[in-house]
Amino acid sequence: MADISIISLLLMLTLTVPIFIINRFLKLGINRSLGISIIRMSLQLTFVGVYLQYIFLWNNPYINILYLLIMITIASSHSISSSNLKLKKLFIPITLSIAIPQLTVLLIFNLLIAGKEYLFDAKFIIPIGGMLLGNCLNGNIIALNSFYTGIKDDEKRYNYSLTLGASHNQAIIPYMRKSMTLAIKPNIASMATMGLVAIPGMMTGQILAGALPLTAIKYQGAIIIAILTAKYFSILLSILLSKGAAFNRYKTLNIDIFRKSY
Amino acid sequence: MIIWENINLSFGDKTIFRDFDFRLESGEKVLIKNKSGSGKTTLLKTAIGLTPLNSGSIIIGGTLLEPHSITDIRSKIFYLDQDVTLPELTVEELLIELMHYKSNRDINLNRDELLKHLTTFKLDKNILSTNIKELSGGERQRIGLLIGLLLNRPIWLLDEPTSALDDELKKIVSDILLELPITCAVISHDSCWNNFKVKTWEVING
Repeated sequence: MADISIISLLLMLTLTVPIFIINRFLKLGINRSLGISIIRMSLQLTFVGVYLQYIFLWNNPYINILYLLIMITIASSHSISSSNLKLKKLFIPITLSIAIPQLTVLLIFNLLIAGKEYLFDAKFIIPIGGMLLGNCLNGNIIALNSFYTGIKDDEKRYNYSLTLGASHNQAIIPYMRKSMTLAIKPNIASMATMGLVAIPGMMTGQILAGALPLTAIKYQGAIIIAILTAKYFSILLSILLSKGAAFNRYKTLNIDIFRKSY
Repeated sequence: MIIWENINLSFGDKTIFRDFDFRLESGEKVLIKNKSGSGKTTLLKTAIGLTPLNSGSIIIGGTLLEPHSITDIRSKIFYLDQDVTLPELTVEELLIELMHYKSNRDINLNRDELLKHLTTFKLDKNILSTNIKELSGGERQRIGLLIGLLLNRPIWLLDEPTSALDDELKKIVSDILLELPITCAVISHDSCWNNFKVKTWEVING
């Protein structure tokens, strides 16, 4: 694929100029945060581009795995901080619930699709790993938020089912059903319209990079199944593994797992 | 029998119980009749482990309330909260669900018995296919009490169980409970409970 010149990139940026002007005119008050975000994005992408260049150059399995583990750690702390839950208490269960399905699915994907000689190859492990991670992260945020605030908002009913004789699992299952459905629904919907509404991002990238559409869709299909599987198990594990820290020994919800007091 | 011994409990700056003792003897039928804000509801909730104490102990039927005994203790107590917050299912689905709960698996839902209780509480059997969220306050209270009869637990703790019922039903409910061989504490402002033994305590100020 032909490289893009810096000039073209900067010209792309001028597309945002009218946005800034209109924002100012409409007094949306988002110009400052928009500006900061664009600058952050540019710096972060530059940084990632430079170090990925090296990681791909070295292509050392240990460095690749280490890179992946660092991404997982960042993802799990982000997952907790975006869900109004306290980091300290839930960090280990959430990290495990992201790492286990993500690494398992990633290795299976690499084995089946890339072949065993590429099992820890940077070209596969880093972009596919990142894609799985992003989806696990997003699923976890939705599921954990919905699960714990669901119980919090419905605390009387939840508690009452305990007093009526429900085991802990029986008492949490209605909230689990709701949060798992909510988190996985977008994937079901996007699969149903895949290719109809828009060409998925991964395929776009592959086609731009010169791949044949028929090759690109094979990868696309495989990655979608990988994403669905990793996300599903990540959601399930995040609830199951976090509940030890989130409930007290009388099986009622620990209110102090929430960052804010409601 | 429930013994609250030397319990202390506060929420933030507000002290609810300070070195507080209370007893509910075996087979006793007690009406708790204090001013509001005295911690009546809280006292009942402490006995089923929904409100943890700051200190002190609660002994229920000889068993100390602790994390490892809580399931066993909850299975001995029928608790009815003021709002009767039940899952939003139809009454029949709810009853079936309840019988699948771990502590209730030995109970068989007997249709004749169920219909008999419905008649006692002046409920039509069509209510079985009605969703809990569509019931009136009074209907929900009666379904709550009916669940108590089906679960048949030895200790009943009831928080305003008759507030939404008419006088005739209030009387029916209190008569039934008076006859049952249970230990029972009721929080209520209704005069139908006057046959119960009245117990009160002083409200802590501040």
